[in-house]
Amino acid sequence: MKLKRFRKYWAFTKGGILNGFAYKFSAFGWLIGDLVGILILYFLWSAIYSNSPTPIINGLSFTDMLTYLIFARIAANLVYSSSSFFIVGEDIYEGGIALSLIRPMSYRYRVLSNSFGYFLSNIILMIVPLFIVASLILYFVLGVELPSILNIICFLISALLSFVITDGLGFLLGELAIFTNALFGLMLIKNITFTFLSGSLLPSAFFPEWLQNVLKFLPFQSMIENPIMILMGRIEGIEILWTLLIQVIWCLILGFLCNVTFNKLKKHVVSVGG
Amino acid sequence: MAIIEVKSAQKHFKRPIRKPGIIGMFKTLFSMKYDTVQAVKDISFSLEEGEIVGYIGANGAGKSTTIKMMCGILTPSAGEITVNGYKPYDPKQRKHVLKNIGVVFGQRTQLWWDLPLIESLVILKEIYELSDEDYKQRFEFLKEVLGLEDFLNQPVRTLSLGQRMRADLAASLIHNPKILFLDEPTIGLDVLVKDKMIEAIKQIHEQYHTTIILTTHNMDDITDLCNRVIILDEGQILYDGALKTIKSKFGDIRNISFVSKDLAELDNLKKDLKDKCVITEENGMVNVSFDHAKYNVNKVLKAIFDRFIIEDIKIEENSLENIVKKIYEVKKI
Amino acid sequence: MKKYLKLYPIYISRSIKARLAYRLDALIGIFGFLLENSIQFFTLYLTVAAIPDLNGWTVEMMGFLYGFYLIPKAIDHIFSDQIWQLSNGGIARGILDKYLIKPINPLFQLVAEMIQLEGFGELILGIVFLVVFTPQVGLVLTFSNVSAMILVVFFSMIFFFSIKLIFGSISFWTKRSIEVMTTVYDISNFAKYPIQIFHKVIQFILTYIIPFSVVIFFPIDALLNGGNVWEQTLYVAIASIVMLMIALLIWSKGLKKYESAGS
Repeated sequence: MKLKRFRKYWAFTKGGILNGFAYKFSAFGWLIGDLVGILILYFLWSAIYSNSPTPIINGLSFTDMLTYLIFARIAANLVYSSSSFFIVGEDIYEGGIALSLIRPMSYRYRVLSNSFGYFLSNIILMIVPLFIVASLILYFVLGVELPSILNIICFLISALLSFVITDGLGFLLGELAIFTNALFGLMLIKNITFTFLSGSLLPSAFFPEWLQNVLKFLPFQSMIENPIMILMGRIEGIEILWTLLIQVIWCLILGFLCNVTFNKLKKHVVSVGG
Repeated sequence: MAIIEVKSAQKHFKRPIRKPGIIGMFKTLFSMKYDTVQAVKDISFSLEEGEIVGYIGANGAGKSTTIKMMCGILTPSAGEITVNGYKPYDPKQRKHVLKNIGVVFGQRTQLWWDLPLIESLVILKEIYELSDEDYKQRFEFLKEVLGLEDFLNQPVRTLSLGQRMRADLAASLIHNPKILFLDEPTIGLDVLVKDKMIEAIKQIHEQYHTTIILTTHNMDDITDLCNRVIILDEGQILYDGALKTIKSKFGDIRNISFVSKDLAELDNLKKDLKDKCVITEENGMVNVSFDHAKYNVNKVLKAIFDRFIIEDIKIEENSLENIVKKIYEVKKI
Repeated sequence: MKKYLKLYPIYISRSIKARLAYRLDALIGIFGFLLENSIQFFTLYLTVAAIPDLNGWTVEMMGFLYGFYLIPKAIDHIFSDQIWQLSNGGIARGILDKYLIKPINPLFQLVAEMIQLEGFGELILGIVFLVVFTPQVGLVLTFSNVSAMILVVFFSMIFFFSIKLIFGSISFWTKRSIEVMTTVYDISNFAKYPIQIFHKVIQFILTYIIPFSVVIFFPIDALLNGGNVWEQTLYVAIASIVMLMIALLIWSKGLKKYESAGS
């Protein structure tokens, strides 16, 4: 019985995968973009650490920093490509949302399934190869330890939760399209705030005290920083469980917020007419 | 001299070969194989000034490609096209053509999406360097004929399809071009709006003797507007001649459609009228077509009434649609 | 030529009017870019704040550099944003057709079509940074260096435009080049760091191949560290004009291909 329910959402996932592969040149374009970014980070941070009076800055050595930034940069692709924002935003902009309301399936889950498809295609085409290449380079060139199997497994769980959180946030922000046509502007705001606050540009250890405290109550660290720290082995033992639990809590909170806001949106659409 | 001359024009394209499914997607990602598609195989025709020509064909028959070649958007792979004496695809001669053509692409608008129609027209006035009097005269005429008053000041993106089409038509004519290309201009329009547009085009033609090429799927548009029809099939001309000729050449066909509860006699009817009529049946409705210049309507009707109890009946002249279908069939055999 | 001079203001004024009709959208766009650049600078600030200076560059100097770089980028953003449509599948969608059937230059139409008010976000931030950091870096404004800087801004603007046009025109061949364009734009971001921190190969690329450093870093370096500002200005002019010529060449080749092969 449960399988049948999932089957109808699988079609959307498949659609997402196929669309994700659709443009060959785009796929290579993103890959090169990431490599360039990572290269530049390497030089910048080498210079920073060589200009620094101490070899450890804010608790991180050069190799720690580099590992973190590279992994975070790769994982940040998830944030940039979070398709739920676009799906919802465009549906509202183009009025397709009215159509979706007629269909006998939950809009939220439909978006999630579709998003998951894009997520999978991203994983296969980009994220996994990049992670493997990055880990190997770090290992051979800089002597950085490879993550243990336990770390990798915990990381995968964390990453999946992270996806749901990111998707939920994207969904919420996409709903703002009901107020404005400026999807691109919203996307910029979303991308830069999320990437910064989630720690993918700079680990939160570098943030001013007040900001670090505020972030403890927000879902952003659960998106990138925490999963990456798990992968790197900087979060260990019981801490990992605690971190995962926080992620689950955020999944639930955001899921709840999505449902509440979407119901309000539905009422608005039904009364105004998309 | 003909205002448009198309001489043995050809056009082919290269298309990458795509493979279906998820595995196929991987393969396509890494392959670079191409296929050649002959969109236009060999087309020749010429138009005199003031003619209105219907340019018909199935999707992919090469209609849009030919129009684009006549506008200078595409260059023919072989052959020659001249519009108003100049080649539209020749960079040096292009200017002379562009000043004298107007184009309406049914699928996309040429107007500025965020601007109200009136602003688009003002910009066009500057682009085509129209004098104030010419502009005013054309503007007033088009405003009236197309009924633009209501939505002149609304951004184009807020217009309904019917309004947008009229707006596009106005924009394509504001500079009084000698030639007007209409690529599926009535697509998606409801009947009332469509008729209005056709009326407007007629009035414009009467007033300014614009040469018009109209591509469409809608046969009614052709019947209302065109005196000449060119039928395109798979990149070649299937038929080129007056509309009247088609009707007389391909017979004065009558179609009798009727509904009857009991169709047991259908085979017998077919035997009776075997050589005279074409009889088909679909979903309980029987269609009998025959050439009424050759066979007696009375006899056919009698044959039907003798065998069936009629619940509903319809007698029509052959539609252009059916004639075109027949032409396709005939040429194929 | 006169005709285009007459046409351009007409296009522009109408575009601005239309954009202003949707105030909220315009504001969100402006805010978005303002925020993005603020956060990027904030990240830079936090990064460099952990050390005394980066190869002789203090945080204030980097702020000045950042602000200066934003201005030509913003102006180009405001005036030629429509070029992104080219790389975003615009060729396949046939956006060029409506330009090709009018008797004026299609590139002109493409560029003039839209004024992108979002760019004002970057422009405002750039000016703010310059105002805040000029006294902090101890820069004395003379007639000579101010006029040199104005020329640098002008030519850099042409440079940014040319880069956009080159990579946008690639989509004539590849159908879609928005990812490559974004990547190249990413590269420009890092030309706001002192070039010495990078490997020689990268320095070479940033100086001779896609010379972002020539139009961003070197002139400011000369200005703040007592180099020859006018010599750098000359290099900026040369680099920009060369890029422009390359861009126009690729564009016209691409257009020819479009006319022979369609979309």
